[in-house]
Amino acid sequence: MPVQASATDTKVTGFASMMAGIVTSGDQFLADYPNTGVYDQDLSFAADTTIGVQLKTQLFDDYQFVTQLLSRGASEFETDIDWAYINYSLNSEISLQIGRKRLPLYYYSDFYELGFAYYWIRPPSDNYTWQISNYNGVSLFYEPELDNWDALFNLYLGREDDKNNKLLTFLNNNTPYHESWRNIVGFVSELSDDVFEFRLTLMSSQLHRQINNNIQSDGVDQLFYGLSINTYIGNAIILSEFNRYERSADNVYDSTYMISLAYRFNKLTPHVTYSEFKQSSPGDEFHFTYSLGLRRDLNPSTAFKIQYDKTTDEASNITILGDGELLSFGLDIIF
Amino acid sequence: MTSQLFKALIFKNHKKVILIFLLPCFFFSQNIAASNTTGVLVTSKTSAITKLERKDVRRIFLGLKPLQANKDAIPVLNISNASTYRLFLKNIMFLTESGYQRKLVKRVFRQGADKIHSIDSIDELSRYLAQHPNNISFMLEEEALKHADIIIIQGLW
Repeated sequence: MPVQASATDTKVTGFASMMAGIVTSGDQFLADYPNTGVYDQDLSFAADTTIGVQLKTQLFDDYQFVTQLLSRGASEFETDIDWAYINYSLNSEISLQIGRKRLPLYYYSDFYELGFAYYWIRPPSDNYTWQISNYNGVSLFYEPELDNWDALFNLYLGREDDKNNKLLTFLNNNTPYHESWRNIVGFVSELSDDVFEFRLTLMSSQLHRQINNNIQSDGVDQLFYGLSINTYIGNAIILSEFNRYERSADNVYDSTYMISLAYRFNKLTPHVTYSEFKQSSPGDEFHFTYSLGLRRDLNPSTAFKIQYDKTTDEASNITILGDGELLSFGLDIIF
Repeated sequence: MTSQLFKALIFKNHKKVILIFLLPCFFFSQNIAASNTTGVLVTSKTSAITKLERKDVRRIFLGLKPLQANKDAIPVLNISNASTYRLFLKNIMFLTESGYQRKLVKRVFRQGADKIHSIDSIDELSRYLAQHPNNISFMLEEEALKHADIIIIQGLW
């Protein structure tokens, strides 16, 4: 017997970031690495502006279909499918997801576009420099409660093929890069209560890369691991993240970290952040950013933000966009 | 002379004096707890939802499924009274308001959980629960007792 989903079976939620920015020093500022959101010396509204709609349809008792459609200003508001998976609840604590998901490398990776969930305009750029943001595969979640702690363990397997990868193509003078990560195996564990959050992440995969249709890497092993520790003591917030990427066959070793301090004065949250990206070889990619910002919660689903970023690019061989200063501001909403 | 006599009386009977001061405080605090701040879990009087483990109440209000029975229970947040909401978060969720909101937003948009409906009026909440028998919420006992279309499942704090 065919099963028909009625309109009432589908729930719609969403979010939007409407941001503007202007470079106050330097020529350009790369605010959003994965989506190549770039600001210049004229006020612009595209780099960090995003609209997301999430649809969740109950298929059967324990099966749901979840999809998230994203339209980004950095991609000229083309609509991408960031999430599209079937969720099956094996029991109250274990669920299996099959389909397309965000690749949960970093702490904010799988809600990177959900600006309302953090106090910055965007997660610190130096940390979030990765060219692959999604994968197709399976994901197993185990969410037990350990006393008053909430725990989450996530094992995922998959693959992602990205023709004309945005970031690599942009950073290499529009030379087409075809980036493929195969045999992805990853693990994330999170433990949190009201004061502390700990997150461990580990991912290994094989890199296949073509530059201008010429094979550059063919099954090169790569490894990513990281640790995040967040603390919420009263109104004080301390966020930190440390990550490491290794591709030893190519002698590539990247380290990123960030530390951020904030304090909530009722609806106002001023914050200061330092983030850094460094490759191990002298002269290779090395940039760091100081950020100063303010979040003002206007109501339970809307926040106004303003932020100043100063990036220093110290590299001599692999530069990004050079030194730059950016002033950005705008609204984040959820609905 | 009078003050010396007073001090002597106090020191001599200090246990009684302490008791005289503490007893009213104790009864007063018990009265406040009993009449003003007892929180209960409520649902429609037509609901089949039965008593829940405390940790399952917490799981349901985090957007997770309970471990025991009542798998279909749907949470509704009572935000009609800031004090009651804070007591619920403190005693059941072990979270502050900002910590709770942070977890909910992440669960909805990161793991596809349902957004939790919130209602800012007790009368409206009572009507909503009456119309949605699978839904549960929390409120003060004295408020629950005023509404005939809802029942108390259990005490919460």
